[in-house]
Amino acid sequence: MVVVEKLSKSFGSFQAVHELSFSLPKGGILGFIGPNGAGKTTTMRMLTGYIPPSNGTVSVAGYSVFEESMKVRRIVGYLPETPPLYRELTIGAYLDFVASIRDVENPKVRIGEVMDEVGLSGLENRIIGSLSKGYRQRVGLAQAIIHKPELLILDEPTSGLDPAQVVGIRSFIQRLAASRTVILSTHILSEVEHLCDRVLVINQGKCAAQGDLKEIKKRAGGERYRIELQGESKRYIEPLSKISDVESLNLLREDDRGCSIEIFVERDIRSELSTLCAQQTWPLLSLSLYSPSLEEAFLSIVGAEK
Amino acid sequence: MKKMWAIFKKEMRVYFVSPLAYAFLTVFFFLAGLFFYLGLTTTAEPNLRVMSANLSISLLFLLPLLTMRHFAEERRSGSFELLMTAPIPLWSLILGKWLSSLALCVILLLGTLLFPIILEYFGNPDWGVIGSTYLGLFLCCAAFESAGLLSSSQSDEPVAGGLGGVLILFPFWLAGPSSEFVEQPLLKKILQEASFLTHLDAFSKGLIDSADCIWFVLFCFGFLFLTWRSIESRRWR
Repeated sequence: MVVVEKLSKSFGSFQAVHELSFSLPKGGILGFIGPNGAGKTTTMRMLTGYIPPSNGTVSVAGYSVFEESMKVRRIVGYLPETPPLYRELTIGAYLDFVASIRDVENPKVRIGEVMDEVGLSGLENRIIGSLSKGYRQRVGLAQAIIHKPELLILDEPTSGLDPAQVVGIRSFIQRLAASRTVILSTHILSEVEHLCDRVLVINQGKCAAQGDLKEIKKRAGGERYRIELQGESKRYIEPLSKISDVESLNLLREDDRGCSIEIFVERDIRSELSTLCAQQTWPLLSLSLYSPSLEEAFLSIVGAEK
Repeated sequence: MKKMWAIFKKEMRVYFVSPLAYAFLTVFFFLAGLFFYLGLTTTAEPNLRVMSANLSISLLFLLPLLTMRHFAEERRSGSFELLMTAPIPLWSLILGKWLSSLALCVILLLGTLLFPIILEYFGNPDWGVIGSTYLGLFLCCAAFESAGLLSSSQSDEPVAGGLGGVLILFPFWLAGPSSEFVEQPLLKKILQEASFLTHLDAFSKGLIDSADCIWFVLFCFGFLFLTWRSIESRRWR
């Protein structure tokens, strides 16, 4: 659906995006994450054709964004960071305008449908300037989906919303993704964990990591077992490392209460561990499976880049 | 064409739901009335020559206010991203905006038709001359708005866009009066021809010269073309 090759953009001497490459199959949600100023918005603007790249190519559904811009514009829906609204117009008049520049057939019917979908029904005559931020965001979403785009690009769609609105917009995005491809930029990682099938981490204009959620989490060590035992660690380390398939051990903590050791291994070794403890009469304090959060993965990826 | 109409309709809507259009109409009708009165009392002729010249100079300051928002406000509010990522050819965006301002000017000019009616009631005006005066004013509005659009396309702040428009138009006014202080015949001629006052005056005398028409048309075309280039080039920065 989307193929990005060696995409670069510089503003004067500042390199905002540097040789970014990725491709995206049809359907599903891509989470586009990175620290502030990493180049997320610039990349999204290049995907929509709002700004031309300095180098590299972007194609959407086989059309080059730069050379066949009008064809791409027809199949892409875009919600920029600030919803592109006209404060003076009513919601109805605004959507009517968007429908007409987006060649929507049966605009009256479609506007009604879209307003129902985003939860604005009955508010046609409200002036956009008088709406709260959450409602404006909904109008922004309505304009992005009114022409039933195949690719939907959302730049921080939940920023500045209250928790209830965030939940509402998230479930809405999930429903949308059932029938189209969504690219979602955000720096709220729990959002990515909830919504996205694939993740692309961008840092200082470069792709720092990409893959599905599991792969990204692996960058923070992946799943591991944590065992807490009484006494000094040195008597445990050797027998533990002899368990088959163990990749590595990591001593997390050691004090007068005991020690805590992380065991990195691909398979489930909990039963083996408990047998080992029983055989050796080790004073076991706790045993758990630990799965790193996306936050940890993100910090380790972004931290490693710096 | 359909897109141009959509842009045109949107701009007209925005004009009439914001106070700008009404403030603008008020100031315009006040000035037009004043110049009509002054024209009558100073020349005692049943024509609109004085009004037309003075009004064109006021329009030089007023019309950039009408066009200043077109691109600058869209940029500032972020709606420019919508326009530039929707399937609208750039030329229909520019023309739609230009025509909407021009339509507002037509409304203004229609409002001033009261003056020739007054002239008809009390005197015996030449309707041909009045018609050509209006044609001149119309062309003048179209020209000023194209320059205003260029200025707006260069700016992110509507006020700066408006001031820029006045600055662009200023030389085209000053060229006329300043030509009187120039002895050198060629330079004098150039300055006179560069001024819109020279061309407008021909219309208000009842002369519809194709050269004058072409002057205004080229002016519009030139500035609309520059607006197009300016928006294209700004995307690269």
